Amino acid sequence: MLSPESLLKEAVRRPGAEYIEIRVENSEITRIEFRGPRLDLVSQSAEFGVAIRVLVDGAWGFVSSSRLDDLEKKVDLAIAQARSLASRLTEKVTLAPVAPVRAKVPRLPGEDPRSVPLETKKNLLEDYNRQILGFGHHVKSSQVRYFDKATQLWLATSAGTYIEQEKIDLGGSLTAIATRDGETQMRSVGFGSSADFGVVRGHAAEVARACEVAEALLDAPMAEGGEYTVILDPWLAGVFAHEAFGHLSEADSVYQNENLKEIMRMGAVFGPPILTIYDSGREPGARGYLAYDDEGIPTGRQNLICQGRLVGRLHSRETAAKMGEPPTGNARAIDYRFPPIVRMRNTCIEPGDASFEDMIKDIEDGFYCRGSYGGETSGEMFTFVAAEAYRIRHGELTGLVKNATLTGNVFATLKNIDMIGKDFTVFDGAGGCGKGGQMPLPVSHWAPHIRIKKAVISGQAGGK
Amino acid sequence: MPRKDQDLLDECERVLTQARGRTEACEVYAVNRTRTPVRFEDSRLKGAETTDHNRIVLRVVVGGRLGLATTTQTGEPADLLEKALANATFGGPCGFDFAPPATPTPVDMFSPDVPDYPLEFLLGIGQEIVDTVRDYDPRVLVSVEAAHGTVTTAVATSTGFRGVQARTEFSLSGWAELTEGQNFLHVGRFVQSGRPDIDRERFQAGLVNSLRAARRNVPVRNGRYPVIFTPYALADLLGPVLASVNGQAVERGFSPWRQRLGEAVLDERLSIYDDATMSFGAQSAGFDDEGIPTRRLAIIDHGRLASFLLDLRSAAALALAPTGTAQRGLAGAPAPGVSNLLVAPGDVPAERMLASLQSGLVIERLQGAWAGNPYSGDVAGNVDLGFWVENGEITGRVKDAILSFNAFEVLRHGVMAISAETDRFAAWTAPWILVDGAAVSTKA
Repeated sequence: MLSPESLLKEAVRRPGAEYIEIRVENSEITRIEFRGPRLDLVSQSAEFGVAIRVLVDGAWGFVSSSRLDDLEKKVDLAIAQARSLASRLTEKVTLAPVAPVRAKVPRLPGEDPRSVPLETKKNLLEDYNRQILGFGHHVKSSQVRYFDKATQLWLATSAGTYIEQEKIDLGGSLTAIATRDGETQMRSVGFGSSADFGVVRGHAAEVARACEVAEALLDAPMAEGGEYTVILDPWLAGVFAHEAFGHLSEADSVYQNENLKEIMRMGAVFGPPILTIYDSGREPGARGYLAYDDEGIPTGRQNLICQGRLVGRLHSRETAAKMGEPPTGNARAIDYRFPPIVRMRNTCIEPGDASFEDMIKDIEDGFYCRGSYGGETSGEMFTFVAAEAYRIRHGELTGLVKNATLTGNVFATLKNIDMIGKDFTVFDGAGGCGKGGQMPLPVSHWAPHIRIKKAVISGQAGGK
Repeated sequence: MPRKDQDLLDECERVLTQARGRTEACEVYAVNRTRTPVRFEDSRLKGAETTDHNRIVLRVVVGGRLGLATTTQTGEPADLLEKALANATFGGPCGFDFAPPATPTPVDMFSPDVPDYPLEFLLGIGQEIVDTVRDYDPRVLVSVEAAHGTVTTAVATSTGFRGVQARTEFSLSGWAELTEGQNFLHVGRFVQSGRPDIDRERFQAGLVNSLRAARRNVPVRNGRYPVIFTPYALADLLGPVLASVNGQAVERGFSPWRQRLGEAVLDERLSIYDDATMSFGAQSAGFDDEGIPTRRLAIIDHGRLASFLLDLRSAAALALAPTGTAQRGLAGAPAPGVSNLLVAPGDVPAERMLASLQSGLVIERLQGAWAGNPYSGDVAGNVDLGFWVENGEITGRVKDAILSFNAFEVLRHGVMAISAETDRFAAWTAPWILVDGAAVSTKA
């Protein structure tokens, strides 16, 4: 499509607002899904829309539309709406000052999914699907999902920022489903990238393993609930960093809460000195990669916990202004239908110096948890489910167990991390983060193995 | 017919006309959503929004294969068609027919005054919630979204269905947060309707009562206890049931109930309906997203499995009639889903239900209960918001405890009482349900 540059630059000059920000998105999405032997979905979607956000007398106005026509009228509507709130405002929103940015950001180098014929994509996924369905035994079904999204994004603000970005996001999951006597167990292989279609290839060995695990889970006993020393694989450690700590680092959960500000004060001890957690937009290929956020702020690496102490948090311009800290490039919207809110990007745990051997050798009774079906957090409480888990006895892995759910108090659990692996693992999946009705947002979480003492495993009641 | 409705149907017709000559069958679905929310965040008024979004979905059948394409842009049917045709060359076999001619079920779902409510109306409602909760405790931070909107949908098929319908929406969500030291308390209410008929006093009282009940934390010991599931936690209790009646799970053989249509599967006091025909329900419709007329569908009728939730594809695969319960998400492909879910009330006053508990729990929200395999019925969740009851009275909040139960088992053999009163949560209306057979484990 034609660049809306002049249109946007004109529209952000409408009178009557302290700040005007216009974002235009043009995306093409391809989706392919197999369910069992059936190709369930082949679809292409064209997503186009505009998001207008204005600040008037300290109140936000937001208008979003699938049409770009009458743009100035839409800006005026946003302004009028924001203005009508003035009499009820108890506190005015202000924005942290930023330098205007002018930039054109091309897509990251890599195999562009748009250059890959649909038939090639379908055949590649079909091969995985055949592999799963051909595994035999009780692996009787499958779910194979793939999507790619190519986005042109234009952002103009009344503060002089104008940025054009071309973005790629793609991902998929290959799930083996085993069924026997009414019981169903599954295990997935995931992949994702912000750059390269190549990540879709080369998963046959992992798929074979996923089939074996799904099959084995049918015979696995339930995890016995209780308090244990637990080793998390890098994927689950990353989910933990995201769910358990990342969300608390989002300044919009803190900036208007005096009590939480006190808990989340800089320098407070959150973990052992071996623990460093950061959030970054600068790793090309990570699904959390982001050159500029949706307020036009260049992203960087933001340390959250450094050697166990709180050193930073994630900001939008609004939360940064309120807390007197610099913006961090974490204001993100999933698409043109929403205003940007404070979100994570690629949330990582820095590697330590432990080997897996070091971690397991002195565990008398514990669990090794791998992979995740997702998690949830509300303040100090978190819960997530391991995709596979093994009981550890006398320093050795023993049998597979099912339904191992890791849950507990964020603050206590962070402090109980006692070992961090040296095997920092770069890996992206197909999922996304949900917050404030905006889901799924592409994020990543990279980490090494970690070990946690006194972690709570919920499984079958009546265990240890 | 209102202009917008006619425009949307015309758009469907244009796409259909183009597609017809080049396909064996085709179907166009178009939706327009407008929405105006106002937002209060942490007790502060933050902003107002207006959104206006279109989506058009074209499904075509070529050589017996199905292709799908969607766009947010009206007026560009050629591009949409080419994509759908290209997809159909690789697509899976279709195996069903698009909707035949039918008269939509007459349903009251458009309240003409709703689109014209001024912002001030929404602001007043939001402010009232913030003020009421802060009157109870000024330390509580209250976030509110009050919104109204209109959803217009049109479906046209080459097999003869034509329909357009508009419904109004009104929704209220309230979230109250109190953190004291490292003790976090979140209390929420969320109600959707087709018009502003939400009982605001009850909504506000609900938030305050839950905050009050959670004023102090009380210990709980491992064991099996009777549990009252409030209407707000019913998704956690009913999750496995709704997963197992979903036509896709039945068709693919995952549902444990796939062979049990007509049989008793739950306690005979339990009846569950999906009712898109309800007057001014949040999800009311005269036809579903594939053009099948809606009805008040009994899913569970006095404990008997009365119907699955089906779309055209799962209905055809199971050789059953579609149930008018197809819904579409952003990807555009239909799938079976619930609209206005109703759980029939019982005959026990909720107060008496609580008074009857010697010791037990009241659950408002579980964390992580959605995870795991729903078809086994096993549910385990961290008690995110729950209360301990001793001698018929709530004594405080239960934390750091995991509640686990088998939903099929407790709903079949463990139902002790169903309340006469109901409350609304999202688009659901449900009573309080007291069950036995849930286990609590704590780390202590």
